[in-house]
Amino acid sequence: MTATNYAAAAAFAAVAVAIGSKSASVWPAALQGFLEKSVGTASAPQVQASITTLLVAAVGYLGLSLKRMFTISKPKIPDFVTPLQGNPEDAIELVDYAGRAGMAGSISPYVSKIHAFLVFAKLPYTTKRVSSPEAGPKDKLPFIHHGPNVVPDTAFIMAYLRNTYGKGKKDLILGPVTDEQRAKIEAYIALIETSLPFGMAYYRLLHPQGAARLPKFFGEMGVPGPMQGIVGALVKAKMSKIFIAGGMGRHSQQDLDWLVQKDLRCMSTLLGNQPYLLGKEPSEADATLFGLLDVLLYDGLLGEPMVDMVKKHDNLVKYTARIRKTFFADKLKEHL
Amino acid sequence: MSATQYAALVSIAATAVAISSRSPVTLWPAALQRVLDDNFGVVSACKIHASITTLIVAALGFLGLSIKGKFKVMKPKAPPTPLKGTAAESIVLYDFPSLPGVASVSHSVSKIHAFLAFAKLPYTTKSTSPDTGPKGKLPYIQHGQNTVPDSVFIMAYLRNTYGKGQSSGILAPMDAGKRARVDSCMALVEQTLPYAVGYYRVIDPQGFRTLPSLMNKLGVPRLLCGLIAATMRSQVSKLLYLVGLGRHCRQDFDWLLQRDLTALSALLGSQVYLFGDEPTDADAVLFANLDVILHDGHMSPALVDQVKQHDNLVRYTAHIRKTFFADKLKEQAALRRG
Repeated sequence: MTATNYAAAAAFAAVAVAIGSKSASVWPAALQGFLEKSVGTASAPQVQASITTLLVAAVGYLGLSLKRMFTISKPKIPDFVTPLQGNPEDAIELVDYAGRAGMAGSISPYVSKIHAFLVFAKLPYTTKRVSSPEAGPKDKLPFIHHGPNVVPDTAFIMAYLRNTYGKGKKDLILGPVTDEQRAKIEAYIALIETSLPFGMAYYRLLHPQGAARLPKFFGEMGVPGPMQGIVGALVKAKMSKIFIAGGMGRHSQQDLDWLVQKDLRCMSTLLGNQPYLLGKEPSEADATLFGLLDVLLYDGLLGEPMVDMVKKHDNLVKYTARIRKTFFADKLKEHL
Repeated sequence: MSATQYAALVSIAATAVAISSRSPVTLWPAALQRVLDDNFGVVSACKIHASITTLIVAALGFLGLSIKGKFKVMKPKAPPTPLKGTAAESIVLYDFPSLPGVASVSHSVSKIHAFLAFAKLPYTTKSTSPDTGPKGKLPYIQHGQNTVPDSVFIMAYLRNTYGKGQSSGILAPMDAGKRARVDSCMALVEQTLPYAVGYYRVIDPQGFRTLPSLMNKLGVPRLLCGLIAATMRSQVSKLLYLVGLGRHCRQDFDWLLQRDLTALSALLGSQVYLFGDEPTDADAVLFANLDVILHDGHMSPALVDQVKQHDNLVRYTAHIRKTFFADKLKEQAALRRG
């Protein structure tokens, strides 16, 4: 609740009490008579004041609920237009959640996507750790700082980096792509991000095995021992509501599994025997796929059934291991 | 609010009243009581007492309920969706009330109209509201004893049920490679376009202006149209924010939309359908979105213009309407004239 909400609630409470204290003048005489007969003349004034106060408070609350039915959600910073190009001389800072040992990128597949993109593109960068997505202009992570520019949303970040650093480049990751390649990249990214991230969220937070690991995870984030269980339960409850509101949560676990398995099968088929999704070199689609697979296979937080579903696809497992070894060897020294 | 929640609120209210009727004597410390008596006089004081005590008890009760709610895990109510049925049964498709000029007012339901038309499967349509469906959404189909919600599952169900032995056509089983290409194309259509429909119908000022008229055409009484349109605007904006797209300013949103329209236009090229001479699931999905955008008669020109930048997408939509929906649209036009 914001300061204005507290002020409104306090003002309302005052009004309710004031009206309650004048309740004798507000009630029709017949009702007053009925009340006195039921509870006795001694208690009647208090009971009358009580009921009146409650009614006024209820009306106020109803008004607030009604108002909520009409409020429009808007972007946090209404006129924030994402920059699409910057100065290649500036330094790149990627804003991320806290890291976790054994993972190439981040606990978030979206931030991992950008770690992978930067590493494929051989662009030097630093990482800043924050605890909340509200640090970003769109309340999302990742975003990057680049000179005066703040760039949120992975689609925009990759386009920004390509526009800024692509001049003279010939590789797929920063250089020009044909219309056909662009269409493929976008379609592959769309498929990777349709159901798999929700499978990940479900198996991390809502599935019993994942949920059981949550308190330990929050411990790593710095939550003190006794609070870990409570924070875990709160996060689980909140996620379940977000899930349902967003649509994915309407599926039974079996339906979600069906969708996850279908999309894993598709990505495995599209990769085939190739080193990368579009052939010999990595593209934005690989940054996306690797970012997600690194999380699914190595975050240690998912319920086993989800990990097993991924492991059914040998080529996806090998692809992830190979990219970790090729591009993240230093970071993962002890874990490879 | 559920029955249990109403019951809880009523019992909190009753408790509050009961406690506060005892408040002057039993609960308040004498010092506080005296302050009230001195400031307001004994007669008013006891009512103010009762009032304040009531509010405090009610607030505590409400806080308790709200904390309980913060720990409540919501679970899906839907059972696992059936994936196959008996071909002999008849298909009933549940849709919103029909809107003249389009296959359906909903791009989601249109997908199944298109799929069934491509598959040459006979079916009847029934008008209903989303909450009658197992997942609280439309479309869903009734097929014998099976209720199948969600377009992805419906298409899989129909293919599993009617596809056996088919060597060509939309119902024929697909090899893994084709399945992967079709699914990635469908994902591309679904990631921004349906949300653009929502945004430009309901949030965009030009779209919102025509929304009451659209509601009225769907059967909402004229007096309620403005109100329902306003609540719908609030709901859609909250959903868009939740799924992420609502956090972008309009310019950024349009950038994402153009990215996807350009990619889809490139995939279609000069072909008749996305994957050659025969329509696939991906065509059902793409057509459904384009049909609603170009022909619902109430869409914001800002979205229509963005789609019209891609000639082949316009030509493609017209071709499918003419080839598969000519009769239905003729029928609707005749009804309007008559």
